[in-house]
Amino acid sequence: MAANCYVVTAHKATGVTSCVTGNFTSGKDLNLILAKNNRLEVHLVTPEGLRAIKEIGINGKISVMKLFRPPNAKKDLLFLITMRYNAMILQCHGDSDNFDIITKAHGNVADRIGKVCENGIIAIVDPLARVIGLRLYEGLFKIIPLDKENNELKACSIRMEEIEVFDIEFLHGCANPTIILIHQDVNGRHIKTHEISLKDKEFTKNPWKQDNIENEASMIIPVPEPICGAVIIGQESILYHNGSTYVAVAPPVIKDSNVCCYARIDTKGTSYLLGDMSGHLLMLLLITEENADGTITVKKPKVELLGEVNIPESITYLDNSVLFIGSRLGDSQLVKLNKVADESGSYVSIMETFTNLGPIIDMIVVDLERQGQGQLITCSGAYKEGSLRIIRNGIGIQEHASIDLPGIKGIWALNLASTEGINDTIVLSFVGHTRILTLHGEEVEETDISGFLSDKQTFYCGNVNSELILQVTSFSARLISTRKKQLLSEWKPRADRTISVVACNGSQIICAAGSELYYLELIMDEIVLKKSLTLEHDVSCLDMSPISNVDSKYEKSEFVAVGLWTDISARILKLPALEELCREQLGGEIIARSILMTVFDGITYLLCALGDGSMFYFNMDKNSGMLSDRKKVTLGTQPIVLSTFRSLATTNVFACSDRPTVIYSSNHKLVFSNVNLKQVNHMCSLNAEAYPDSLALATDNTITIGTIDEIQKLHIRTIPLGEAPRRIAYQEASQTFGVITMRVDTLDNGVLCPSRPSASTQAQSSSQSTLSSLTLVNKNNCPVLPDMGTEIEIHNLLIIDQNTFEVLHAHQLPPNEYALSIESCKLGDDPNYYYVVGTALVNPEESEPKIGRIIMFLYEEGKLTQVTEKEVKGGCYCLVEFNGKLLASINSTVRLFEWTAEKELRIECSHFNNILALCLKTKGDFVLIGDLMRSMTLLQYKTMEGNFEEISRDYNPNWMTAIEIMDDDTFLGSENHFNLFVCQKDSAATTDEERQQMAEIGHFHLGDLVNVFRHGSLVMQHSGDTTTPTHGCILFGTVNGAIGLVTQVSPPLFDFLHLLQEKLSEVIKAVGKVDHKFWRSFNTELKCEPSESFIDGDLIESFLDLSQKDMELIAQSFRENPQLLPFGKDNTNGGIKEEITVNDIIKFVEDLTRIH
Amino acid sequence: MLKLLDNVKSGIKKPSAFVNAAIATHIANLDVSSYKRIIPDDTFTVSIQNLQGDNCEGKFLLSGCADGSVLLHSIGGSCNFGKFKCKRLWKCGKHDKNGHRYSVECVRWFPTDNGIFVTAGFDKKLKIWDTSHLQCVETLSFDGKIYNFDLSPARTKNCTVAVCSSRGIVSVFELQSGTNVHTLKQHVGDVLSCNWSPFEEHILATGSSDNKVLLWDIRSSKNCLMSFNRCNTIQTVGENPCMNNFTAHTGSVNAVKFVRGGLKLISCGTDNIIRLWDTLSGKNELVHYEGFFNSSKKSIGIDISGETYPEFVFIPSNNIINVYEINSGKLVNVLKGHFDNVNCTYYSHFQHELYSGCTDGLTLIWCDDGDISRCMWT
Repeated sequence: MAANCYVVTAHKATGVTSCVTGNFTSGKDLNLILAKNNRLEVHLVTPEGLRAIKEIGINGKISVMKLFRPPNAKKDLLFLITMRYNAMILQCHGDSDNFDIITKAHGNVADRIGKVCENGIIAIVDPLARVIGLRLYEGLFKIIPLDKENNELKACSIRMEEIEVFDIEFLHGCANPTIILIHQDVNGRHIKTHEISLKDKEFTKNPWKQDNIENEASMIIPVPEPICGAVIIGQESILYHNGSTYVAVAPPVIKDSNVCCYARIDTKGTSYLLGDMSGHLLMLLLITEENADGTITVKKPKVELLGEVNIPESITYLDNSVLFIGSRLGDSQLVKLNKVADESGSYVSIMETFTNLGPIIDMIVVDLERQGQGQLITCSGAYKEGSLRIIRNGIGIQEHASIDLPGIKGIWALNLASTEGINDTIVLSFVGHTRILTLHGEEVEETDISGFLSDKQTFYCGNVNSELILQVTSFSARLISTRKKQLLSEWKPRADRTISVVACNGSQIICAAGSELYYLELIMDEIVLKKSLTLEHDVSCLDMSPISNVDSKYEKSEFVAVGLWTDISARILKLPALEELCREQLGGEIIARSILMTVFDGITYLLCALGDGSMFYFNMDKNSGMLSDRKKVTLGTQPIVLSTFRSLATTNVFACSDRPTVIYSSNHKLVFSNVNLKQVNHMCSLNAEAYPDSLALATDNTITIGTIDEIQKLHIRTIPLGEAPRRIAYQEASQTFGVITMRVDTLDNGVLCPSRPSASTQAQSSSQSTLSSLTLVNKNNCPVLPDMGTEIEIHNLLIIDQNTFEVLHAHQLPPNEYALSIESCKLGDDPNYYYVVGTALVNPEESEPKIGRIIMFLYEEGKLTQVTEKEVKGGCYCLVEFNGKLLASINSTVRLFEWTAEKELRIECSHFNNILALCLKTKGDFVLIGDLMRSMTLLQYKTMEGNFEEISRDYNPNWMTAIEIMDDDTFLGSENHFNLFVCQKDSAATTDEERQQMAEIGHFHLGDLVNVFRHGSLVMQHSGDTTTPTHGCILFGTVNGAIGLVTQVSPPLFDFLHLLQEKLSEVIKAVGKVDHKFWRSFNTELKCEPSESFIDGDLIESFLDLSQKDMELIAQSFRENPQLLPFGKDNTNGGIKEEITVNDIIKFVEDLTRIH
Repeated sequence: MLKLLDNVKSGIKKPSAFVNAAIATHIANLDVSSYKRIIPDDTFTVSIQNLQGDNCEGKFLLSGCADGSVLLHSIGGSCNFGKFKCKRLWKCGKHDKNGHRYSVECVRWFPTDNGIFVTAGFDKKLKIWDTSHLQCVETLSFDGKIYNFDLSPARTKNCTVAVCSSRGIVSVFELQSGTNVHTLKQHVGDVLSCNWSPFEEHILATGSSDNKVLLWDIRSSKNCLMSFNRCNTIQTVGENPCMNNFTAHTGSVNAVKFVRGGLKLISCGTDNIIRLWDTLSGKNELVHYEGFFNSSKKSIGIDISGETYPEFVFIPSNNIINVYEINSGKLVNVLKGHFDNVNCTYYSHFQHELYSGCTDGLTLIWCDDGDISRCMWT
């Protein structure tokens, strides 16, 4: 029994957990470094904005990240500690364009035993970089002295009296490293300092302390020299203390919310930025006074509100009043501080936002366009950052017009009469003839151009300049003047020859007739043959795109790229002499059908597409024309035609085939992104008056004119709600989404007022419900409204249009009633589709809800009506439609409700024996329950008896966050130590006892908390596509905004991938030197076991980034293990086992990347 | 709770914060389990002296009885229609081969592996058992009646065992070799209880009928580190801590347990007082735990909730079990269900259930089933 699961991230985590600024890549560069779960992103701060320069995966969840500079060093080092206590110091080698991250020192600083701090890991670095301080376990302070060069980080523990510690920092200006901390005992919170003796590794003395500070004080800001001392931030007051004197203020602006992060602005340490949990950005100024002896004393801390930003997790100040707001609950932002306030009194202006999907609370997969491709709608963000996100794989084409025309063999956009750069004509080539369409506004009309040869198939057509057109047919190359409306010049090959292939740029033509190659130039409105050459074989494809400067359209090219028949080679020839510079044998039997030279991100590539849908790509030296770094990728199954187009000022390549693909560059790496169209044969850019920045795409039967989305692999659209979405359901019948949201209202004079406008307050129509109907609500357990000014959470049901995403209706629940679940379903014989909402009544004095409701709503003709409600004894955590009935989990019970003819919900049967049934999934007659702390249980509904039978249960004490049914016997769960596991029921077991116990057959450390699993796929399901090596696909969404998928692979493929994974983890040197095995091992407080039955797809996909040498090394190890070869494809060719090559592995890994 | 769950899903709060809150609620709501029961067999009316579940899977429960028998129950097995009877897997009675002759006072599983367990009792014998064959593999004899023993929890190669016996002697020996490492002789009364520090593997605490609680470092000389002083008067440096007259309680100390990862120590005395000590300074934390009654002349089995925050302790108090929050001393739950004195408790981290053994021979399982389902058993 094995689960053979393959886990891969489709969209990496986007929530920023930490951000720092410093000179990391070099002493001159200013870098912004972001930590996003297990990845680091290094950015360069440039006058134009942020430039991403490196992305580094760490084998661990980053807990704390600090930049520090050793004495006399020119640049900063990065200290990191992961959630599982791997500490590392990273250094940058090289310059900002080309650098490597070196692990200077690393080590695991975990203790075998110790009580983990409730307040999380604290890591601090001494301002003079003498020592790193860590607080990991209660009653212990760990120090890592940095005095000597040592590549192993070792921590020594110091017993610390203070057990409950909230924050620790190093003080500035101390002879010996000195820490300051806030701790709590029975009497309240206090601050205390300890001086550390690095020699004896112990605390030597307490320089000073201050008892009984504010009870909610939780943050220390150490003040640098010459002021020294520290600022203590509380909920209501701000205290500055320097050991001998202190000043405190209680500014009203900080009372609204908890200050959660700060950033220092100047090196003197007089001004700081504070961010709080409601998204306020505050400025803290220390007003100082210089004494007669030159010392500086702080007179008073002063706080001012600057404006509102997204709820920050971490703030860092970059330069020139620009700061970065790192957010986990919403999008991160680049923000500028202005000297003058705007009309609304805000000093803040947003320069750029960075999409963050996290936290993904719930999501659904829908196929609204019925294209066979799922879209993901997520409930993202918390509080005011709440939004719905629509996520689609690949690049969407927005269709604007289409013309039915079968048999198109080529398409070009021309400019005949209008201004430069605007196309008004489309030339279409067919077998044996050519047609010309003019665009008048949105109208399309067929016309003629005098001098144009219309009774031949056109191979190329284009503007030379706004007055000249070049047309190349099999017969001749023709230069036509649009002004004089006549042919100016014509060139024909030898009479017995017809042109077979042609390539052209503004001023040069290269064409081939069989194996003869002709180089023509346009000189003074005339086509002149410059050079001809006979090659060994016939030419299959040609290109002469200028590569020295792509931005200039009429630039001459220095090179010609040629693809040949017979020997199947690609060659680079130098112009004008046509001398061969480089020759690359492509191998195989498939000829090159399209060849293209292009420049992405300053790197020149030669792309060479074959007739079988695969494509080679090379790096090309733009001076010598030499090719290097050959790589192969499979894009489709039919011949590919490559053409360039421009979108948002960048050049991209469109690969036309049965799986149209856009090729672009990201992070100096080529990315192949699907286009949401089934088939494209030919395409060209079109910039017409009515269709600006569009593409004309020719399929078998039609031409489509459309615009293309922003080029990125996953396309994300944001629908901001201004309040937190919690659950979502889709109702096809009404073409709406039902979304449960939560907004925060403030109680003002006994009236609840929304604190800000949001989706539920701005809906087209709204309604409310009360609790008066409930019998169980009496005086004793009726929630009492709290005091004035307190914030109350109000839950709403929003009905949102599936196309426009407008909020059609908002239904508000009473205060203290929480909506926990929503389902859209049809019950029994009733033909209506209902929205069913499960709620809980929350009494602040009770830890568990005792009463709840199941409310049925009908949305019809723009009106939402409450059909019925059912009172239940507990919170309704989950609702699922189950065989025409309604299945609900209510606290510890799972109940099945029948929908009677009287339109009432009646309990049919129940299942007990859970602690809290958090999630439910169903398949056929089976119900899977995910319990809060007792893993998963499988039930079977016995139709005849009308009850549930407990079939099987997992007895491992897993705290569940989400569950899913993979197939009839296999169940996937995620638990709250960021692990995934798979359980299997054993129907074949001999004893009852074995049968009733689920076997845990696979586990894996994901490193992120999964909130939701859904069956579905983000990629287009191609009919007749049998190449996908996986079956089943479950998508998951996480707290940090990652979207991933779990799928199953066949056992031989699993073995193959397992070996590949093992070899990759040997070959790839992990930054921080954390073992991949350690990172992926299933880990909870109770146990730690190596990952089993799971393949880390992210590691597998990194194979494609390896150098040729490393790839070869891995392929070599496969040859040594021939028994692991059988992985699906025919490896037995006539009984002889073929040797696995690098290309085989590449192809395989590429196939796997295509599942997301 | 609902809000906390929401905050965990949003990543505002750590999952552990929710786990802690959920366990705290769970513990505050513990009651006799409606689903799960250990049914005593007909002959079973002898007192349960000690019990412990295994540390690896939480599937087996070991009980030691006053008549010298040792029982093994399955507690993680199957159930049907919501009712679950814990099956007895094995029993080794007084008359069986290798059985204890007199009352079994203490049973312990090997810390890292449920292949071994250890039992000891008033027959002055300590027996080491092989779980897979359910056979006694080693019997060690001692001079006095064994009240209590403890296996060191540290994951070192050598598991050390501290055995408390009458006549004030604590013997420390290595489990693998059976060699005696130390004999700690400082107590003047019967040593009723001992516990190894989970934090430092060489630190041992013992409680005795001479009213003292001593802290030992088995690496150093035979003198103990500290004698806990209920009055918090200062100990003079250099003085032998055991020679002074400091007492921890005014009655026998029949339970000691390290809490908060070894930073604190809890002790129970027949003076009906529970005390919390700081193990670094030896300070009496002066936390008041109300409503505790203790008349047992033997060791009482107290257990803690372990890796939770706040941490809870389960203390038998005559025929009830008191559940205290350790730090504050708050009595969060009083478990009433036994009809006779409760001898021992065991909290399972796997099932989040409490097991308690009573003088009347009943073992009760305590769980939070939620209020609706309480009527289900009938």
